[in-house]
Amino acid sequence: MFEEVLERIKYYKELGLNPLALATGCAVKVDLLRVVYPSIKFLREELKGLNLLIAPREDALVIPGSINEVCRRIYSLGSDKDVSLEDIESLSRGRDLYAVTVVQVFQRYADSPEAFLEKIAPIYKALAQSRVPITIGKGHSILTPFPEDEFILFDFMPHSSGKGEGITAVNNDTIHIIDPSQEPGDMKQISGAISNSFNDIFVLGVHKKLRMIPVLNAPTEELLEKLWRNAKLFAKQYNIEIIDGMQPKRGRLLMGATAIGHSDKKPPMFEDRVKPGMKLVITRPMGELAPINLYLSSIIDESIVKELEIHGISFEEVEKAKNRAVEYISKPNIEAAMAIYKYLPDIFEEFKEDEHIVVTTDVTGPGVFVVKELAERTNTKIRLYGIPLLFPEISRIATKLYIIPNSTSGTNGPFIMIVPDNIVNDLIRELKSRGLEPSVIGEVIGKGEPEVIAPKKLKEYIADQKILSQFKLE
Amino acid sequence: MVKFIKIDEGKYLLDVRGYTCPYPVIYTRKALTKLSSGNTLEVLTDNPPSCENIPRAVKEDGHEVLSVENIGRGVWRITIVKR
Repeated sequence: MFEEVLERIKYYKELGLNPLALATGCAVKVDLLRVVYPSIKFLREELKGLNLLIAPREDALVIPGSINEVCRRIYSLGSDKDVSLEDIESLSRGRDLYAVTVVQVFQRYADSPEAFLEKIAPIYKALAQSRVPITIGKGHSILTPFPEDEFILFDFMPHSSGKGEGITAVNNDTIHIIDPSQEPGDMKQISGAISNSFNDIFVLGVHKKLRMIPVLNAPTEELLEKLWRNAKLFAKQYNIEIIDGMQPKRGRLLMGATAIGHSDKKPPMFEDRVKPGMKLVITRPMGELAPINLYLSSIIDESIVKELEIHGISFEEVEKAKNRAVEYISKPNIEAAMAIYKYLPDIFEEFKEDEHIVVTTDVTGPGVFVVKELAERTNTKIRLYGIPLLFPEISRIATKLYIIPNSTSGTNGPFIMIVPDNIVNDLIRELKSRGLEPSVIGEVIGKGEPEVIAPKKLKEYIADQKILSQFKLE
Repeated sequence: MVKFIKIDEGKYLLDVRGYTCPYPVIYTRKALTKLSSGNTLEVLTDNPPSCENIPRAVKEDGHEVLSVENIGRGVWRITIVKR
């Protein structure tokens, strides 16, 4: 039953790729809590008083007004030799610069803040010497098992004047692969990767004037051309303008984009307006990565198939679930963005707590942990009624077998919104009419010390104690 | 490729450097099934999450984790005794 997949694995290997070294989820990002955040904290202190500001962590960079230019620069890690201040100043031409960044770091340098800083600090310190104020709004750090694949990419955006033209939201996200059991040139791989890049701006209700600067790399020209073709098809389908930008031209597979969108509404970032009684609504169930990882693991180790059978699940069911998960991932959440947009105040309008969505987040790598992050952002106590999963039994088994430490994790996942009680029914109707599967998953029960009370069942879906300990289980 | 070799009497080495989650856990479990009770398995990994996931998974299976050592820049050796 595995012949077809083993054939594909052979194909990847012929391209010089090991599909089993291409992370699908849990391992692709540098550990945020242990490595990235402490490194950024250190850098912020080091750069105090200089011309480089690293903005507080947000899912996307939100800039008042419009952005008309994007200039990409790619530097080597571990040294400032590629950074030219003259170049930075010529991009700026007197205007402040915003930037989003992607770092791809050799995984052996991602085990501690000290090692990670060895790679990124020289570049940040060099940029901080610029006479132009630079705000780094969104950083994205991924691992590679190959030392020669390292790079840091900046998309610099000179700030055009605001003049109440709404807001621009920018995000970058890149992945290695969505589904290593399918060909890398399959349309779903690109659709998933680019949809994932747009997810962090869609979650803000931003869905107009969409633009992207793809980040694409492949080990052969032929495959790279296919990725570009697919990216162009995707852009055409969703009316996204493609902006040209230089490419890393190193390493193996890389797919993603810097995604840009514009909105004439205020983004749902009204953290201080969250009140007890407000509800948490999710746009659809979560947990796309569990069936993908369980499927791939079953191919490597047939004893997992036997284990699945003991639990009453056939390999064919896992395969079906995997295909459904890939379908979810490869569909952009633009309909959810349009629904959110409808419940936001116009740019000059005041936020009204009985009319507007208050705060939103998307469910990605950390899975349901994003609810704890919501509690921290809003200083609230939240009670979760349940954990809506796409494939609960598959998630449970994948966790039990340590195939995925957090089976609530996803890529291009659903949105969770904090919503005033009186618009919940309306919003759910709106989301359903757009083909989504929304549900109310919890409520805000108090203000103050952030806390999330979750059902005990969560233990069956999260093996990672660092994450599980962030919840009070009842 | 994954390297699985006998390095001494009752002592085996599994090298999963270059592999990311969840494969190091899967290969470790697979290697342990080939060992006799009391044999030792040394796992080399350069994937930081595996340093937590491998010990947790094999303990769950009833094996003993003797140590998790950082033996070089971003490389760990996890020593397991099969029970």
